[in-house]
Amino acid sequence: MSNSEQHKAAYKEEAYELLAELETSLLELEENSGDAELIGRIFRALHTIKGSGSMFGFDDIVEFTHEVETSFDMVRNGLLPVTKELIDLTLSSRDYIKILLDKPEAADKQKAGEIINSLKKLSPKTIMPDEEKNSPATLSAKRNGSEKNVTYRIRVRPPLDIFTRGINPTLLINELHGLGECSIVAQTDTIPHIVDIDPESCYTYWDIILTTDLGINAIKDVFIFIEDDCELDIYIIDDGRRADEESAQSMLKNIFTRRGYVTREDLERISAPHKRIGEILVERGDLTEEDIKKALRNQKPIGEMLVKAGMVDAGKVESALAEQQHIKEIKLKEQQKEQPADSASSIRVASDKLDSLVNLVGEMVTVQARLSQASAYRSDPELLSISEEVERLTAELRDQTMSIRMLPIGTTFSKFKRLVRDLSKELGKEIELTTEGAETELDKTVIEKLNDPMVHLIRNCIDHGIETPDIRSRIGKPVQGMLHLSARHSGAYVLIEIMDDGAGLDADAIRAKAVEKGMITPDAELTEKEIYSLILAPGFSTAKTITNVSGRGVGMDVVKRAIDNLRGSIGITSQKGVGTTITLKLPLTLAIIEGLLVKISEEYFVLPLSVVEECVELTRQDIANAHGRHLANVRGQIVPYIRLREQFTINGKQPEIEQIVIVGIEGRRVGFVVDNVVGEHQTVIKTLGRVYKDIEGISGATILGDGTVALILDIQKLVQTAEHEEVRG
Amino acid sequence: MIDFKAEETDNITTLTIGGELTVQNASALQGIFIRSLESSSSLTITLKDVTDLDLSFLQLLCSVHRTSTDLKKNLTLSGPCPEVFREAVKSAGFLRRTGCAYDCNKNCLWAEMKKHAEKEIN
Repeated sequence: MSNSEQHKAAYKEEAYELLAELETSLLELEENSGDAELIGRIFRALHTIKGSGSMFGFDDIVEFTHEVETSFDMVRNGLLPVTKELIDLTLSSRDYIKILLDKPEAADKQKAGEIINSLKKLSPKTIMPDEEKNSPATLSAKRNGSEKNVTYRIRVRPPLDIFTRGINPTLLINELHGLGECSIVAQTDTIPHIVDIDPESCYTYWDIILTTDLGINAIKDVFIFIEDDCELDIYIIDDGRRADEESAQSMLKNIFTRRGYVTREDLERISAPHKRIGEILVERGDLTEEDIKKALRNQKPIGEMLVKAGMVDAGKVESALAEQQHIKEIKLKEQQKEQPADSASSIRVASDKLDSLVNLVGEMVTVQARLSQASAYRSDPELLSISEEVERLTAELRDQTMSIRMLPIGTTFSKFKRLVRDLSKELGKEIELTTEGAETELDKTVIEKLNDPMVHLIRNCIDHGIETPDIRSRIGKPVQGMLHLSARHSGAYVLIEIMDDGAGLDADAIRAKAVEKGMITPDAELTEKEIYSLILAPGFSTAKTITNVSGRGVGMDVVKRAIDNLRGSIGITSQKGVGTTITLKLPLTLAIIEGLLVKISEEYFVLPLSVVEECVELTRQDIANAHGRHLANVRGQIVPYIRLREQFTINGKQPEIEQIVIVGIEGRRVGFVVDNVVGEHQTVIKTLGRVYKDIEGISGATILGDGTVALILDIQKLVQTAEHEEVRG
Repeated sequence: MIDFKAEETDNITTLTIGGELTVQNASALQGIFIRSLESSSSLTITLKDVTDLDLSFLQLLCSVHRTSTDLKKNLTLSGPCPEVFREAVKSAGFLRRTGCAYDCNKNCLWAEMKKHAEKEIN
């Protein structure tokens, strides 16, 4: 990749993030149209997309974004109210910018023109004046003042005879508090000795640091009565625009550090957020740089040293300290405003690097198991203690690595906000999406693979579940439907719930349909749960009409397959007329599972421990009692079993007593007959590679401590295959 | 009006001042300070029943502190600080972390008060 391509790729990466932020902010703004902070965030996102776009030659994006930015500048300044139309248009703009990023050649210029025109139509000229006044968004935007805060350094030396003019200088100075955040330090170095002092003169003068958005004239107005005789110096030491530039520059900085042009330390030094005390003193002309160097030789607080050396009056140091403190506080406040939550520092790492790290850790775990085995065999105490140490470290390393791959599910949730909004609009329904547990963490791969099935389920809820507003009001439900997404931990699993307050599942309709499709016999006795699980079968759809959104009958079985592939499961509960809750149970990670290691002849296999219910013995006598059928009697209950020895055609002598590992799958119990149960095993999953990809019944492999390969069984597939064979006879 | 009382014991003058410590009475206060400094080697000032207090008094205190340091005499503020005094010091921006160049004995009045003020906040 050439340098400029690298820059472009980095820009795109950032831009996608900004677009995502733009989307969430817009949706939030829709609910909260008066939030000036959100408006600011949206403006900044647009501004940064435009600003950096122009650096890397994305002219189309710059041109288009500029127009949208202009509109939001008006919103920011309270000239344009936040309306649904504006948000719709801005969302479309966001989509268009994304197209420009993805596939610039596919962009529809005409559409862009339409968006821009509509945005322009919204501009203030077409708004009635009183409408503008009444809009809460404009009002609060004005009140919060999009004017930038500027920090001033003020030195004011009132005339000596200010007391005799009947003015109290303290009151005057304190009027500045009314303008904004303000630090006041009196300078007393000119006060004479008690015999020389004219007690009715004012010798004191003041250094004031003031942060205000009201402008320099407001400050001058305070001193208007003594204007002619007082010395008033006002300097701008921090003009608020820096904060705006900062957001644009932070992106550049990120790029610089990531490419290794400069180190982070360098950057920090260059862009130090506040000036050092000496710098402030020199800048004010209260001190020269030589003075500082001289004083710096003794290592004491610089302020104290300077005063002691008689180079500067304590008041000056005090005032410089106050300035430093003031700027620090202002910066801190601004930062808190800009990043309300999790400002923990982070770095960006390519995900394939993470994947290879996980692989390495996996191998490490394997090798460590071998080491443990070998050292136990040698019974050398020194080696044993080293091996234990390695075991502990490996376990820690494994957990840490796994936790790096964990991402909060919140990003996925916020994506659905848009989906729900668009879909409900399309279908003429009113739906409120609420989420819970957005901070719940899941493996990155799981989150990625979860997206499609979740989209499907949410579409189903909106299309089939939640009724139209008129039906809802007729049956006495609130007009606005409710869709609730929640995520929470439960042991080694994460439970994700999709809950709606719609029509609920119609058990009779499902049953009738299943009979019609020949999936069950008319007289089959099924529990409610079993009936609901029928909708997960391939080719099942009860929707009366096929809509754009769902109902092609390829829905739920695809969802089920996707969740199965994630080694998860789906649970459905529903109450007719009240609503439906779909619960997805997903493993925390895909890379390592708890497995049960079993042995058949000389071959090892692993069953996921999560589905194993119990292990029982199978004697020759038991087999004889079943008259050749693969059924075992477990405490009076008949459990069908699969003989893995036959399944995988393993030769060798079968032992007198075999073991049945009974697993629970889709509410049934099925046994797997093996020679020996070895025990629990931390299984690092390895994929089998392309050649073995299509082998049924095996989902992966793992390497054991002694280097042997053990295959991981795909329980679901094995049961299905056995059932099909049974049916075929 | 100002109320004041000066007591002298063992070369230590204790000044108790109250009333309106404002620019109107500044000249009188200056006189009191000068006399007290002349007559003893150590001066203790106690503020009591202060009804008003402004910048002129703060300047006088600074000034008398400076002079006493030059003359190698002791000056201390003693007793509880009246609220009106504390308020005046704070709003005039007189609080200090460290004393001024004259403050070789490290007993700057304002620095002491700053420490108190910070302690109260904590």
